[in-house]
Amino acid sequence: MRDTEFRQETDQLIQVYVEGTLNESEAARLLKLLKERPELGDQLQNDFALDAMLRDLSSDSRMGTTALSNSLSEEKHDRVAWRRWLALAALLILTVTPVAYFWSQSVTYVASVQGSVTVFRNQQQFAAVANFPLTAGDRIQCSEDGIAEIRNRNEATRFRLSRFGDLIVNQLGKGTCLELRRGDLEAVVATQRVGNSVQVATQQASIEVVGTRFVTTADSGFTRVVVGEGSVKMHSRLERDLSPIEVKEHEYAVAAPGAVFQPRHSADSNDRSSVPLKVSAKKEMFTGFGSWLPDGNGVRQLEVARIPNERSRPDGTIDRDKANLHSFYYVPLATSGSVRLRANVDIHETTNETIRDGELHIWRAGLGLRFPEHEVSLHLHVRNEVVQSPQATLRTRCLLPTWNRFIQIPLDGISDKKLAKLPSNSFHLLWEVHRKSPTSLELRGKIWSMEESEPIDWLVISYTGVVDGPISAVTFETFRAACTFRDFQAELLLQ
Amino acid sequence: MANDARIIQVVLAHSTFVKALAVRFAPWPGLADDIAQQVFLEFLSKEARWDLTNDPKPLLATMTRHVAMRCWRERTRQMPEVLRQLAEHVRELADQSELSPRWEDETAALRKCIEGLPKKSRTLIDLHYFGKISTPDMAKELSMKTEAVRQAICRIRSNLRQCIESTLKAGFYA
Repeated sequence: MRDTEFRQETDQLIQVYVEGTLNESEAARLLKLLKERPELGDQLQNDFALDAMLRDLSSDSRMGTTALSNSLSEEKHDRVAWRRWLALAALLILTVTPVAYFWSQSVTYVASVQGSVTVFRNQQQFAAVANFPLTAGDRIQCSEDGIAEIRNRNEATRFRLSRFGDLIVNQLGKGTCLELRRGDLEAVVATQRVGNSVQVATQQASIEVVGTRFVTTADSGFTRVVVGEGSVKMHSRLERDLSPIEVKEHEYAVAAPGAVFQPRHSADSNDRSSVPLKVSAKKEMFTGFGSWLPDGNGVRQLEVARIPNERSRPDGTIDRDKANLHSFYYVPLATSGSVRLRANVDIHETTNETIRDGELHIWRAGLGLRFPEHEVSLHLHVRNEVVQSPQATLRTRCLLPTWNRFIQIPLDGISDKKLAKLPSNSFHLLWEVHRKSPTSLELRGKIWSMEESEPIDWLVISYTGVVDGPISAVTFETFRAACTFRDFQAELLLQ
Repeated sequence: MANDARIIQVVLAHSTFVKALAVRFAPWPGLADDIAQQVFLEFLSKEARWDLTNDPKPLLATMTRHVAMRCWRERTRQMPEVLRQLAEHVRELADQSELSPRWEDETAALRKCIEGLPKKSRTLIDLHYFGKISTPDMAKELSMKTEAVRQAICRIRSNLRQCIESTLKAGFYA
């Protein structure tokens, strides 16, 4: 009971204090209590600060007042220094009226900046600084280490653009529409008024939200949305037939060509680093010379490629120029992003037909990626039954399936030491293609036999050149060998 | 024109920051608004001196401290002794505590928390803060005792404080 009375008394005194109507006896009592109960000091300060915040909110609030408030007099302690305000207003009117008007129309602004951030407006560009007001049509670009925090003065909504972020502000005010071309956009969206919403569009998706917390990552190849609180509605812009999905708290979803469009649980951050791509060897087949058969989640080559209808010699050999043939099997795969490919390769036939012509016994098997005018591939390379250093090859396309240029790409970090004989006729092949920019790639590969554990090191190949567009297919390819590519998997890398 | 734009940006964007400092340096009702207005008046009158390409917060913080000290001296000089003693005691307490670096975030969270208040609490806050109605007048309108209204408002603020802290604890970004 005493506690209740004490609480009532302190609440009463604190309220009178923040109202500014404390009389001397109340002041003496409050002072005494503050000295006796130091914890009361924290409450008083918190209440005083919160009271100030509430008064601050009310002064520029658009929440309106109640009908009752209009009939009553203004509170006594709301002391406004009118003369100072008038002077301030006069100064503002004289010096900054156009800007003030501009500001009043634009309540969204760049609140803080780290690194290099540029705002493009009407074919002009400005280095963004803190408190830079934004208008519809502005485009904001961040450097690699650039971060721009965007806030709205009238609500708690805020965005943080980073990692090469490229954002176009399409609409502000009633309904915010942003277009994220690239980079990361973290968003905290306050509960929106009826009829308002915040939309973030990317090349692959649009995200609609009425109050939540989420992160959008966009690249040329994919859009990922990770929801921290609430939920968002995500529409795919890649396939019209796809229904929008709801991505809830602790879930993420990826919109990318070839990726399954569905929410996934994001408890483990590693889960967000890649998503499987829908690829099927059964879908379509392209061949050079050779004969291939889809086999489960892979493809089997029936025999070493040779010119059709060309007969072997009586001793089973054929001429070099008739056996020296590549064979290709294409699996369609459409993506502009970074990818990881895996396959297990069984070699079930290599040709020795050309030994008779004095040619060393060479064969190759590998995986390639096809770009509009180029193809890069990574091969296991065997010469006279001795495994050589793996080879990476860039080919420039002329007319399919003829290639007019073959460039051997130097492999960094690979020993020239010849490997021992292939311990078995099976090996693993892992191939990653990281897009660094629209025209440069970093290629990383691993090849190891079934008897070995996966090597830690990668074969790293950096290539900068005209990689002119999206990947359109994966190529299984052989040279003087017949293989089965088993357990083929393709993943889109999201980081 | 470019500098004018920066000036108005600084004033508009830092009003909350200056107000927060003023509340800390001069914790007496009604002073914070006066201090904030004076700070910006002085800031505008000397605009040619400032390099606005730098963060203006350190400058504004120093100006706010000086103006607050001035206003505090003027205000407390006129107070009865016991009120002056109370004011000084509260100011000492404020000096010992750290200024919340998240005033802007707290204000944003406060908006959200107000929206989540029960209807009766929301009405009291609306009337008192947004309707600018004194607690005795509210008591008359609501047929309550003034003490009860004051205690209720104090309790609502306490609930709002808890709501703000839990909102900020959850973090703004995923």
